[in-house]
Amino acid sequence: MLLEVKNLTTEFKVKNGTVRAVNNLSFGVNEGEILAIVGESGSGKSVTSLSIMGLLSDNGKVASGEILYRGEDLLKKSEDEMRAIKGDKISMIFQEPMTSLNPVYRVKDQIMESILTHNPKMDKKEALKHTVDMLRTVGIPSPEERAEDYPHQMSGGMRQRVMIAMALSCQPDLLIADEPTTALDVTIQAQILELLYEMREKFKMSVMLITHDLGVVAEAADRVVVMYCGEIVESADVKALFEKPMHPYTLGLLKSIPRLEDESTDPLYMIRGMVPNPLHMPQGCPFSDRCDRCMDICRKKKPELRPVGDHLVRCFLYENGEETK
Amino acid sequence: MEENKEIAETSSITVGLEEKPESIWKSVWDSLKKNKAAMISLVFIIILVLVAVITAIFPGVLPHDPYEQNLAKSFAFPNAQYWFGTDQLGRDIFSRILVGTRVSLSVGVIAVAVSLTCGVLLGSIAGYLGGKVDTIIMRLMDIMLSIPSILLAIAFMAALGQGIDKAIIAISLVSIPEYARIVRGEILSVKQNDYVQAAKVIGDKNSRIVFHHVLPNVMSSIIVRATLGISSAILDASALGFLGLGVQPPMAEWGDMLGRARNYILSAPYAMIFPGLAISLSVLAFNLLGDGLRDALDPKSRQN
Amino acid sequence: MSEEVLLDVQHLKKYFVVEKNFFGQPTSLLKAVDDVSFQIKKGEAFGLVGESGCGKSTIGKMIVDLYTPTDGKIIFNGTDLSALSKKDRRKYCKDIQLIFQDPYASLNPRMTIGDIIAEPILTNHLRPKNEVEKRVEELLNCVGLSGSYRNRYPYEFSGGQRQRVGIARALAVEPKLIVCDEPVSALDVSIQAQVLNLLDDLKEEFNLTYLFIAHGLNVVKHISDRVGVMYLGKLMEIAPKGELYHNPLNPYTQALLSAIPSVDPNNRKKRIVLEGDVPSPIDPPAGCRFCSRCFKRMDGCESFDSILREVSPNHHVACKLYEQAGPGEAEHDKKEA
Repeated sequence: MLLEVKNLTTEFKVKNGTVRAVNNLSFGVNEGEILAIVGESGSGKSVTSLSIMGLLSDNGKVASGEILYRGEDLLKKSEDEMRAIKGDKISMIFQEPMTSLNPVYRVKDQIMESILTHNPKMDKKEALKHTVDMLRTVGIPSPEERAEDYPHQMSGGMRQRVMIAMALSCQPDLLIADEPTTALDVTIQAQILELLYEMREKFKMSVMLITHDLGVVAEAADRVVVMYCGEIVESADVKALFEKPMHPYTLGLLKSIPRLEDESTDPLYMIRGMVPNPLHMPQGCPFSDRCDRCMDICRKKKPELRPVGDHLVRCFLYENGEETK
Repeated sequence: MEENKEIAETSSITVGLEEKPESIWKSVWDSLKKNKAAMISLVFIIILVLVAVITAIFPGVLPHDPYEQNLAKSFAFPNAQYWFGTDQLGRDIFSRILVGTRVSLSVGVIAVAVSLTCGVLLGSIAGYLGGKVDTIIMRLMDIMLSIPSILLAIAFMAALGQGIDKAIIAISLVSIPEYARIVRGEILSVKQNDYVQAAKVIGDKNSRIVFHHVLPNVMSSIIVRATLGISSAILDASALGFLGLGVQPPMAEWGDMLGRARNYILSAPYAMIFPGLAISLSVLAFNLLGDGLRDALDPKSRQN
Repeated sequence: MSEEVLLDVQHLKKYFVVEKNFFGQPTSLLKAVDDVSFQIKKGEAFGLVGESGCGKSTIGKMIVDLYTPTDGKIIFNGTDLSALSKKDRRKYCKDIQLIFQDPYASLNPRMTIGDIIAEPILTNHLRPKNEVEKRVEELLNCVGLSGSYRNRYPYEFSGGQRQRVGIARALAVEPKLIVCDEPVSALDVSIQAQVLNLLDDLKEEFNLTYLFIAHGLNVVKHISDRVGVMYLGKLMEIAPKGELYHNPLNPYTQALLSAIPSVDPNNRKKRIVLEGDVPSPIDPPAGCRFCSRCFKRMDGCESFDSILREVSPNHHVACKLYEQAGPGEAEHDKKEA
């Protein structure tokens, strides 16, 4: 296993107390796979990726747990050691291609900088050549000329390609992609997803794809982790998950997407209510207030994540290893 | 419809219906209370205001008559009778500083009020209407800004003549462009907000949009700017006084006291130190309060 | 849905001046909306779809008078709104309303929810003052919020709830037409369904007509009766939704449909992945706007007139491939003739 997150808990200090954004989270990313982490805003999916990269804001900290990269705990690394790993072994691309590039530097300078930081011996000419190669690899037309551009001269899709080129320039083992297509138009989203897929093949890397869009997951992922309120509610192979979603939340999410194939004019299925306030979590299952199949026990006790068939599910409906009707 | 009502009830978890709605100003006050420097400054400013009001109504509370000259006692070193010593004409410096509070504060407040009103008006018109009106107003402001403000104030004073009222007019005039620019900038950014567009869509008139939707949302930066503006007005007034352009003698004014004592800096430093301290401390207090307000009014610090 | 036309948009254009020469004459134009015509019937929901920068929101803003059209007519219930004076135009505010995309920016943070909803009622003198409060509560209930939220400020609410408040504000004037400008794209998936259902219910209850603007065909599909697809300021195709989704004719519509990820991992279809980016709408080339990215490009596309032609009943396409289909231009031209 390339990356293993064990019992990760991340907390944020806010005005009225402490918010546990990620609660006792465990999952792993295998070599060469695309793992999707799905959840709505406030589910803790982005905080998970920031915890891995050590990029939490000042009021946040990892309270407990381990993040093992090839068996080594990233949380125990010094800042210098982390800096060597970031970009070289683990890279990240962000949602907002508009703000994640520095507007005052040319595209080539930004990519070259990341190459030179991790390969101090490389000379500038070689780095530039590598930069242009990377831009060509990610499908930027006439890369020699575009390398001279400033970020504002490029469209959103192009910028996201530049971000990917930058992230892949040191051939990382793991790419964390945090909502890489959310800010893009559908036709550009299709291009970027295709590119991620190709790059995975080409560089033999693993991808941790963080998204709220189940369509993107179905399109791109090998395995899926569904998060709700900082916890995993279900995880399974992508085909198994979409074929037989088990947790009522996963099921609800899938049903509430308007489908192209659907011809009926009935109201869309909807999950009632909204994500609970992290400062006032319900006592039992965090989803209990919104769940169609909520039972008495759900309001009193928190369910455990347990294996059910080829899924991992956190729900009392599957207490006996199969669905209670 | 039934389904939707259900949502309303469950969603109260997030809002927390049990709590009373909190007004924005109360939360600003709560967050200001936590800022020690701002609170000390606020207390100091309240004391200044009290001193100014009380000495105006009951001149009897002053230890000495601030205008009574006694050349025999000139340049007395600070002692139990004359806490801050006496000046070149033998007047009690402490009493004069207390009386001078009124002048400095009123110059600060009135000048800011006048320039703020004009500046907000001009800035709102320029920012909201845009186009040619904007260009004309703002170029005029640019021209005024290109001349050093104190020089401009001196020029105004030269034209208007001496006196505290004229000093106020001069200081107000020179600070108009600054307010106009800030207000215009803020309005330009607030104007882009969807809620201003929404007000247009429901058919609000321009005047209502400006006074109801735009200005309240630029209020916080105006308040901060005004607080800081009082300190610079006090400073400007002192500078004019120092140059002998402010108050008519024998009126007491901090800058004027400082200016007249400067020839005796070596023999009687206290005659300069105390008025100087009065100026510095009040300017500092207004600046710290302004900074505190800026933090407290920042909506980011209010939300969880 | 009746046959009566509520909104008739004719040859609508909006150009923004990007550059002026020394004498103030425009030298470079951003053609955000370039000769667009369509009609919406009473009680209909018309979906307008396209990628960012295609001009769909600009059309919405012209209809609610946030932008003044460069050219063309917006005929509402028989009156040409674009020809009215500012004062007369304001009278139509209570007939046409807008729901915004960003529920965070569209509510004044300094006003309570109650005041926000009461404002359009008071501005347009729709109710006597003493009845306003009752009406506000009524409206809050309509959108699924409790009347007791009246005294709260927007920052206390979540995105979905704020969007409900925005909808209540739009309903407050009892409008005939509501322009919904991407009302769910800023919301979470589970909340999107709630708001879409709410909009659907309200349409029935208050007999509303919608112009529903969105960037994804799947969201529009649920709510619309007819759909128009836009690209770079031009309408590419208009059809009833069943027809459009089953038989998309314009290659751009085909690509747009194909780009929507399917929620079935077994069905990882071969997508039509368009090359390149949307070109800049500043000084766009003549001919079909899509031809630089089109996978069915042929000779003559560069000089194509980009006029919508009726290929089959109610199915209009602007594409060189269907140039021979019929003489018809957009619907209203036929009527005039």
